[in-house]
Amino acid sequence: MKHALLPHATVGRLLGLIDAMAETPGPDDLYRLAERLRLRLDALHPLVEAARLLGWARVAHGDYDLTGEGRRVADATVAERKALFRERVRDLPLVASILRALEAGAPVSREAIRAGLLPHVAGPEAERQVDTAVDWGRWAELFDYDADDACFFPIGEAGRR
Amino acid sequence: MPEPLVSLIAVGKRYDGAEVLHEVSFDVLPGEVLALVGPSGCGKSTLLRIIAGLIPASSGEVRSDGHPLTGLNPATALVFQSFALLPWLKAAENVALPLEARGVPTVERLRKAERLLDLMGLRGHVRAYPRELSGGMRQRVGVARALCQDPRVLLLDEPFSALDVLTAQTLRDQVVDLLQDPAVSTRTAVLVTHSVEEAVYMADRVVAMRSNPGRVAEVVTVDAPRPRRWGSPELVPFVDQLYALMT
Repeated sequence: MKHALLPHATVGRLLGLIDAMAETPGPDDLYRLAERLRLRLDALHPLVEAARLLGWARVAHGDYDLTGEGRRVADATVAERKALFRERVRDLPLVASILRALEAGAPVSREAIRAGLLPHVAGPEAERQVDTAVDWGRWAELFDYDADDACFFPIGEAGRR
Repeated sequence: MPEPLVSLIAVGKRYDGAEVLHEVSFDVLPGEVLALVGPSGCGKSTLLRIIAGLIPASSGEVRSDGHPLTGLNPATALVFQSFALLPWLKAAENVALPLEARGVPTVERLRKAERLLDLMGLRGHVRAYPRELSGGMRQRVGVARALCQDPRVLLLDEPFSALDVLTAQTLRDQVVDLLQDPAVSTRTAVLVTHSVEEAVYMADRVVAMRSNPGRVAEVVTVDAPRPRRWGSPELVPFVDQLYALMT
């Protein structure tokens, strides 16, 4: 799972970033975007990383540019955004490994997923990775998660119990 | 002229003899977004609570659906700046809570809560606790909880000011869209904000207020076309006009 770390960006802020990038078409400086949003560059960084990881933005030499799909996201409804997000997120290694574990149709413990990360990342970061995967996977409606049981569920299963 | 949903007629409010609102009069018309904007201390949040029936006016009259308001206003639901979610309840349970007080059966109220969370883009988060949600998601739960009550008038008390700029902008757009959405019964909103830009971006009419005591300076109609773009040149004259009125 090398190079597989998820940037710690909430879905809401990521989509806000795409909207903000779409307001200044064409390549522009990241520092100018940060100024416009009154965000520090280091606060902007995980959001930009997330946009890049999903194939929605290109970043080079301190400039950013939305990709074609990034522009589609900017113009899309919530439902369309969700569908585009789902297609990208399901292929990210950590999310894909959760989905594979759920293929048997049974709940999967958070502990099992976290343990799978531990050879690659330190303990606290593994927790944060799982938290971000929970947030993204929930929004994409790829799986359910219940904090009481600390378990992942195939979509719709948690409600049926 | 359509019948107003809410009318304020010379409403005044005193706390310990100090006048915080002085003869405030305006109507809330069906289908409009009405913004109350003014400096802190102008009593705009107090006014919103008077419309909700949470606190009584000291003088004047509030009419809701043509009748004098006594006690809580059942035609309204409030969205709070602080989200005000119960941390021990999951998202859907938070949304369904006001329906419990109305005696709606459990299955029915949870189904409705999930439908509204779905509309807010949170279908996957119905079983998330507030602590598992970002600020923007928490406020989406807050909006869903208000809409779940099918209010004729949605009352928004600085709903975006606890959010960062990225989160706030998408949620503003979402709220404006929801008030047009056939899946939602609510068409009318009163927005309290300290941001003139936000008022002009979202509202059809803006009540500009002054402080000491809180009073209406003027009601400005923002007849710029929709969808609007934040900071676009056609909004600038309204922003300038409102700043001039408030100072």
